[in-house]
Amino acid sequence: MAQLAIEGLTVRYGPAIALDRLSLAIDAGEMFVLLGGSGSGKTTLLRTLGGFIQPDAGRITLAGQDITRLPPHRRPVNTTFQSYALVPHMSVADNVGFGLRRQGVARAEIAARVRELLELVRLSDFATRRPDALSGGQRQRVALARALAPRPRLLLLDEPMSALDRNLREQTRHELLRIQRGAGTTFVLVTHDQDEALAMATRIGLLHQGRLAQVGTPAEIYERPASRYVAAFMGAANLLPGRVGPPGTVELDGIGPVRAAAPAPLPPGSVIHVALRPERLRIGAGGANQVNGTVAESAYRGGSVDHLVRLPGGAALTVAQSLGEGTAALPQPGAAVTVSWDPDACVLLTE
Amino acid sequence: MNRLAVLAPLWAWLGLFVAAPVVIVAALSFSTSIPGIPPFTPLLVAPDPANYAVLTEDAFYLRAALRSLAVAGVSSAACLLIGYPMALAIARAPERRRPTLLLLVMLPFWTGFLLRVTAWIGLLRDEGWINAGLGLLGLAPLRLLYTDFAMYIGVTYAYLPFMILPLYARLSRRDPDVEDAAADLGASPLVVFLTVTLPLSVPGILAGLALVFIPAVGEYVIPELLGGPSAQTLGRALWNEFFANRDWPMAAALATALLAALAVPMALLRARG
Repeated sequence: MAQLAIEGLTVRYGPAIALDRLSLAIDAGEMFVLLGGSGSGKTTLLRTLGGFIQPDAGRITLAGQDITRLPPHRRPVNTTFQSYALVPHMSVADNVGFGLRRQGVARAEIAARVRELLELVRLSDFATRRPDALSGGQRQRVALARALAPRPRLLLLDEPMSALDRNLREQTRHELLRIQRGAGTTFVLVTHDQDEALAMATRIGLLHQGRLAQVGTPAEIYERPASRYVAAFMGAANLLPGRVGPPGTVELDGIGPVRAAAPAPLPPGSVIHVALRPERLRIGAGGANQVNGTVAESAYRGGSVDHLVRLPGGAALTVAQSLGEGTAALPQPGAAVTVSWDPDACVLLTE
Repeated sequence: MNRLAVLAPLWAWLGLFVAAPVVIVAALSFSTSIPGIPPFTPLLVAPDPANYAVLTEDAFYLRAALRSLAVAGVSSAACLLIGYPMALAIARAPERRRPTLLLLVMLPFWTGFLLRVTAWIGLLRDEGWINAGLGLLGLAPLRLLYTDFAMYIGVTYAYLPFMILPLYARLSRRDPDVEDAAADLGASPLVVFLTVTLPLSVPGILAGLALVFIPAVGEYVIPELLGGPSAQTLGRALWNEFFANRDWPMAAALATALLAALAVPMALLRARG
């Protein structure tokens, strides 16, 4: 049975619906990432799981226990807040021990557990410091240790890395995964950053307008998006409208017939979109599909260059050219180029 | 140079209207009362600490001082107990409602202070509204006016906004996430209040206590209008020396002693904060 089961969860803010009959099951020990843009309902879902928002309808079950109506302090669920929310007048050790003191754990045991957790987050030397004497990354780790200390059945993380700079974020991801595996706790992490979601999640739930647009492993979400919204959110810059042609082909508006591998047979004439990832397109001939166009603009991105290629039919393709072999043969804006790709690079979307 | 030009009016104002009167009163406290105009010996000619000797020797002044401290202490505590929940409720109210609630707190200032204290006489006197209400319920009338109780009510009522405003200023800046985090870690609403909200509002509490306690110690009007005739506070003693006995130097000595007594806790408070 699922560790966390959410059924038909609905939250309204006046006339606006923040969560719309959302259902989701999360297994024990998962690192489940709730991904979504701002206003998608991801923070509302997290706060509802924490008990800070009462749902208008639906049920939340944790390890078989219905927790829907439990107030936050009675739930075996802990949260790390985006602002970290450390208690400013308490030392790091007192912050970490806060939840254990509420449980009435014996002093010596609290001290031992606090030591254990500070070691886990590598902050043993900071036990007596006040939160305002810590850096952002250190505060984030104190918040994590504090939330893990009472051994919650479920740990909620609200944008844990959003306040960290880029290098620290990368490092913190690995730390979080290490700690999660060590603790064996079920983590639900909220983020708006798809790279973070792909790198960390056992499964991703992509939220859009209070509903789950798709739930799946990072590879499933990335390679087999269920809809145009998911494809666009996961960075498929090319979404081309068209119709299904004879078996194995698609007629793209403004481009013409191309070869595409459809996972399920669709009746010819069906209106579809084809998602093409920029990194699956190549500059130069050689694939089963090729079109000619003109480079309109180029954006240097370090590991690659993104070209916007205009096609004669009015359509445009974004092509990511890898810079693995150096920058010698970069087409300049205005240059005529051929763009080619393999049939399996086409993802057919009916929604 | 510019800085000096900007600050000059401020220093002039402080010097003329704050420092100079204090110096004059302090000097006056060392002169002696004589019949005539002005009713004291020339200032600074022969400084005589006799007035302070009287202050320490005559138990009347000590009793008045203790009485004043009691009035100010009880009233400050009452203001804190009443004002804290009000300040917290305003700080927790939806943002669009807060200006209205704050306006309601400050609204009494739009009426004259004396008028408001006099209104309490109408409420508290033997045939007043409260006793009329008790009569309707078939209860015997209570002696309310001219009692210590009336004095405490009056002082608490008059200074309550001075407690609420600094408390609100502090509480409105609290981080609701920290309270949520405490609740999330198993703290019931009462424990959240005791472990997070209350300790973090201590600076607001101290500011509010200072703003209520200090003027309440020297309060003259409320004990005079609402308190019993035996309720001799420092404010009333000072008034009597000045107006009834025309002993300006004695009144000045009382005022200076009061100022010094209040400056000490203020300095301590500042050193803390």
